[in-house]
Amino acid sequence: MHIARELLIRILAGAAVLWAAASLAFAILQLFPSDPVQVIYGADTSITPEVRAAIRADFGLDRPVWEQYQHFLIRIAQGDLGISYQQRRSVVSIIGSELGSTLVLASLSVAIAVLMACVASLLTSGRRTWLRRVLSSIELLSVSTPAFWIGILLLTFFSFKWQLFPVVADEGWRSLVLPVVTLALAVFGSLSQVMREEMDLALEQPFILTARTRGLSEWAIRWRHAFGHALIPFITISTEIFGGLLAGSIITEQVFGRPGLGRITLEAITNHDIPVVMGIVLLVAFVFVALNIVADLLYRVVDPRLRVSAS
Amino acid sequence: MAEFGSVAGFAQRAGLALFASSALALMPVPSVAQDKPQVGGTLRVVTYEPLCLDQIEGTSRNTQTALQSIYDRLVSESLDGKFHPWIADKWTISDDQLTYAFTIRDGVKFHDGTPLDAEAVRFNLKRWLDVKKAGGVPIEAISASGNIVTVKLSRAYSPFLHDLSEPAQGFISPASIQKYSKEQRCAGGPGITAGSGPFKVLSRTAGRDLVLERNDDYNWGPKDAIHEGKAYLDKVELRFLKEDSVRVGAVESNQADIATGVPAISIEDIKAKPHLKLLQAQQPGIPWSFWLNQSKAPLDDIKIREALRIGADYAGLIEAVFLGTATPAYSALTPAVATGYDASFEKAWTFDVQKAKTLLDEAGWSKTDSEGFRVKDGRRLTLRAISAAPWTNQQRDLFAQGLKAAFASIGIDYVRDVVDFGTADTRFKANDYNIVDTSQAASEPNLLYGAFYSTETWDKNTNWGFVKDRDLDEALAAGLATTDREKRIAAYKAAQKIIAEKVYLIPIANPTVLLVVNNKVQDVTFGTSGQIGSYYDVWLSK
Repeated sequence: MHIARELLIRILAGAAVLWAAASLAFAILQLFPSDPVQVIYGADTSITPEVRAAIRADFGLDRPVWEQYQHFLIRIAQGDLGISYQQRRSVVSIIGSELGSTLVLASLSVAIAVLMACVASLLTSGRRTWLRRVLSSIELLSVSTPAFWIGILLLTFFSFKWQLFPVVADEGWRSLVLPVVTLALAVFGSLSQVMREEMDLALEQPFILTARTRGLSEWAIRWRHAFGHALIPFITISTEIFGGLLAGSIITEQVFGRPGLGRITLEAITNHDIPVVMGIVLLVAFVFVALNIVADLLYRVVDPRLRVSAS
Repeated sequence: MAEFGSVAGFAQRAGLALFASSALALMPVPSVAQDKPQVGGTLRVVTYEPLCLDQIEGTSRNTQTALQSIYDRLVSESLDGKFHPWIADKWTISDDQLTYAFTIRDGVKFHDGTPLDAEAVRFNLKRWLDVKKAGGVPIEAISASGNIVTVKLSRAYSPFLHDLSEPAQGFISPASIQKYSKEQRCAGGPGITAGSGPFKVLSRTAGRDLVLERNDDYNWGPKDAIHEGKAYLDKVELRFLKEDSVRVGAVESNQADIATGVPAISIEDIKAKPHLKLLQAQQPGIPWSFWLNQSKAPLDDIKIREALRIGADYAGLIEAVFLGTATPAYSALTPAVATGYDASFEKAWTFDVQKAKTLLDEAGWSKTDSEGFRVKDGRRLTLRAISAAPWTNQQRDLFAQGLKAAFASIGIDYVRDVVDFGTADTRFKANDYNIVDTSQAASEPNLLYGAFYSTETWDKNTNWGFVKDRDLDEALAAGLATTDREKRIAAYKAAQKIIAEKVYLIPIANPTVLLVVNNKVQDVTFGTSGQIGSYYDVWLSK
């Protein structure tokens, strides 16, 4: 009962966040000094006034702002995100067709980043070894180097110089390796740092001392006792990871010429394709809200202390 | 239809320092001594992505460039500015310049098997008129009868044939337009994207690639093409990579055969690779220039405009910054505009600091403030320049920095804002600028009409300078009123002379388009806007 009520409140709050995000995006784009007509017609071509007027009427841009806003909200509520100014396709179908490619890229990258972060923190937490110093340096590099640069570097060596992985031809998994590694590296750094920090803290707790006195092996202590603690911050920063993935996929897809949400996001923003920008804002807001709800539920699963206090 | 500035595809306008001043001498690019074109093979091109495969719905230079080999046009324009039969076997223009009658070639078929006849041409032209108001062409009526298509204009419009020859005017099968939705046509694909060109769509993956295969029925190439019959290549794979360095790297590492949009900084690197060659074409149109806003002080004073033109060493700066990839410009048209470029202005003015300072003094800007800038009636001699982000590139930005220093040394405060297109649009509308810097691409000298005719201000065209000159209007109107080549050349030479004498524009650099191509690729051509041409004549040597 308790959980159901809390879930309902959260979902309603989420809907409110979505509405706010949509309205804010609408307001900002209204203030934007861009003439959509130029975008619709092609930004590199001069337009006669008659054509301008015709396009305005076509896309409902000649209506008063509040009317456009009303229309916009009604459409969204019906799941219609409008038509792209540039591609003349519905935004829903554009997002639908690009989503798959980004999901593949992002999920593989997260899987690899999480795996690397887990291994790194299990191996090096609570110790001051050379391995820790090496891994910390890699983390620092991953956090501070723009994904763009990592991507170009990987391409220069692994594709242009040694020709191990193609960037032009589509050769299945071989074409995926470099983009996935680029994005995984972008996510790995902060994730690994946070997880190790948490394990370091856990390893200093009294219950670890108790476990040690029980004669548990170092490995068992790390794996069975400390690691669980490291999962909590992992959930906490999952929305941050999602943000990192979004930004990372824009760059990765740009550098490697891959289809996907990142590519259309960048294209929509640079070309002022407002319906697509709005669609992406809403999608991202939706994922953030959903992630937060799921994360809260997951805390209960991972952390038994929360379950006790809730019941 | 004037295309201005640069689209993503032409953001990098760089080229080699050495080229003949005539476009003819450059193109078609001579192939390596090879006896006979070989049939077969797949050409791999890394380039920019077309947004929508139906050109009328969403058009951009990138879209048009990518689709040239899929769609045929009524007539073909060669780089010398002459027109050649293509889908139209022949045509007549009435004495009053208002009626064009095109005889449509027999036996032309779209990729979906339907005929490209007079009715299909009429349908396409009508669609262009309905959807895009024919880009400003004053079309009054279009009719088809037998194999003749007749277009009536409401007033004389000499660039009409040029406009019809542009890649944007490629014909689409009317059947495919009736059968498929706007959305399906934009996404495109085999069967949906039905042109009549030498290649047809085999597959498209948005964001990734567009693969074309040879149209074996093709037997209706333009008269000015290098060969007749079907194309040589089996397939053309257009792979879309946005990053300049990645495209160049792909060709350098043999993963692709042609890269478009090569940045100037890559040139040295490419030259060191024996398996590659650089191809360059001077871009026809208006050079990268300063449009000077004469609607208000201080540029309403010709002395200041003149001082700007001679007060900095443009030629020296170009050499230093463009890495030897652009030539100094002196005329309002680039040398590649075959109809009308006037070479007589070359070096017509030279760098002269003393004279520039004297001119500024004479104009009343003789006092200076504490920072060394000239002042008059308590106001500093500040010139605010605007360029939109897509119109500039690394070289242009560097050039502007050098120019800022040069101008500062004669007491002019030159401030250049590179802004997004929307902001530029707003500031143009508010007349909040002194200078606009950009270039315009088209082989048609009538570009000057849009850029300088008194009524063609920003609300409908690109007269950013608010030029109002009766003699210039007369010359531009004369060029628009006749299709007689000699008369047109005379009119546009007169226009260039007035623009130069009154300093309505400061031409800076003639941009060039640069391609990097593997040595095995032969007979690559350039189109009339400086873009890479159709792949119809291209072949691969073994």
